[in-house]
Amino acid sequence: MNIRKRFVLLACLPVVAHATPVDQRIDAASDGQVEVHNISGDIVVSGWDEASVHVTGEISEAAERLDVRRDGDRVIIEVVYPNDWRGDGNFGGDTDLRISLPRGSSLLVETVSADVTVNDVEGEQDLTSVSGDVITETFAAEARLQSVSGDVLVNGQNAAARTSASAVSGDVEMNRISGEISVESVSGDVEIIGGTIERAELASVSGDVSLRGELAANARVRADSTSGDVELLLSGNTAADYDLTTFSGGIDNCFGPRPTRTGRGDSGASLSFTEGGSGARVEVSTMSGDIGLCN
Amino acid sequence: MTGYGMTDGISRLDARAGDLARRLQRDLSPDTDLWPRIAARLKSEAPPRPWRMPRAIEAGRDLWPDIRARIDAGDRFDGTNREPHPWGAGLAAAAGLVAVTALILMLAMRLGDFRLPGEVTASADSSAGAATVALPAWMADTFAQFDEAAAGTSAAALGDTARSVQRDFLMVRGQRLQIEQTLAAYGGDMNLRAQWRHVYLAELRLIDETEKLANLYGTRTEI
Repeated sequence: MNIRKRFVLLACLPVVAHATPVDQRIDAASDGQVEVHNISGDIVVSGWDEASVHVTGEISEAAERLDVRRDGDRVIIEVVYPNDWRGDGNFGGDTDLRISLPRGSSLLVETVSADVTVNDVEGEQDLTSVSGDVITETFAAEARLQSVSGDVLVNGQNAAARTSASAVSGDVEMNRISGEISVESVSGDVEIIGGTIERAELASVSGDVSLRGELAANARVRADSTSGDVELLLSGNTAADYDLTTFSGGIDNCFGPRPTRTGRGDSGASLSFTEGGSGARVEVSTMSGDIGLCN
Repeated sequence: MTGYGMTDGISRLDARAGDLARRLQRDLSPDTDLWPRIAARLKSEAPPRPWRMPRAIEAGRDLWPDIRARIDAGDRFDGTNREPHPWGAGLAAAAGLVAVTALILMLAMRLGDFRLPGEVTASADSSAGAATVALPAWMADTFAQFDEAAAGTSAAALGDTARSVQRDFLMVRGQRLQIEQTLAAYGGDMNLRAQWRHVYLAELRLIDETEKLANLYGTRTEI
């Protein structure tokens, strides 16, 4: 059952006060996939060295059971609700799960209002919430992280990897991230404190965008915000072709030539120059937001 | 400004808009009438033709990535027929002309009509100050049903999410209208055009999120 159908059922659940403890363990491949489907509450996932998945916590009384099953290299953890349940629009309480799994596993988590916290999982991660926060630790594998109103927080190890995150009103923060980064937000702020950046695409509409890190030799960096400010603080290598433009904001740069006033209204500026000769490109565009470039 | 930068960015935005539109089409339930409206908007609000045209030749692009490997592997001409064919130059020119014409036709067919929406143009011409922004009727209905369903339940946190999406949608649409008003005066500004795409992409995404929220709560049928 997909998450949408499950949620439709849960939206009709009556208020329930009690929760049921759960404690299940199942054998798992050391580099298999683990899927977690839960609606509300907390999901805390930790990697460990055992070849098994261990789930503890408590499920809401509205839930029928916790289903933990294995299908080949996949382990599926799902909170199951009665098909005929109808109520007044409640979740029936939260379901909190603590999950230990082989650290080499790839992980998929789908939830609606649950917060998701992941530690020590070195495989690929695909984490989705609607109103909950997504907090994770990443390694050298790809991570795809989404929330709508929740925040997304990623702590990496400066290993080159592909990391993408999206939010609407939530903020996105990434620390010690290297490799390829893609972040979208609408009104949330985007803050990247990276290692060596190979490719970064950062976008927000009204939120501020901030990137700190070092450019790889052929890095591609693009940052867009309409009314938010964009700040690039580059350490180490700053060699690149720079192309900064704002329609009605200002540009404040610590290196390179002075920006050119574009003469549109009271402000607006553009700045294009080449620093060194690395083949890297940095492009920043805003409508009314200011642009900062420093090292 | 170097030409490659903005055109590269526009290409990426186009690709993302296409991906999002396809995902919207896939996600929406078959009985909804939303997709035709989105498709119509995508067509009618496609940006003016000059926005899409590169202003400079991209530097350093390798049009034949395999040629170096082939040369290194010895797959080369042996030099015995180096005299150009008498028709060679003409044929090459004709082939080039056909290729360029095909490219222009393909772009024209893909981009369609590039006029700004009539309502927006009228608003811009009126110089009446800030644009008035309102939710589309279907979104207002969805949010109203959502609030009613979520009120007083343990799902109220999602009501906050719905309100944030609603607030952001109004903000983003307001930004888009402001950009379009500015475009009426500065139509040739590539940065503005890129910003228009950027904001419109966000607007599409918020439509997508609204649909997902509505489906999560079953507002189409269950409420």
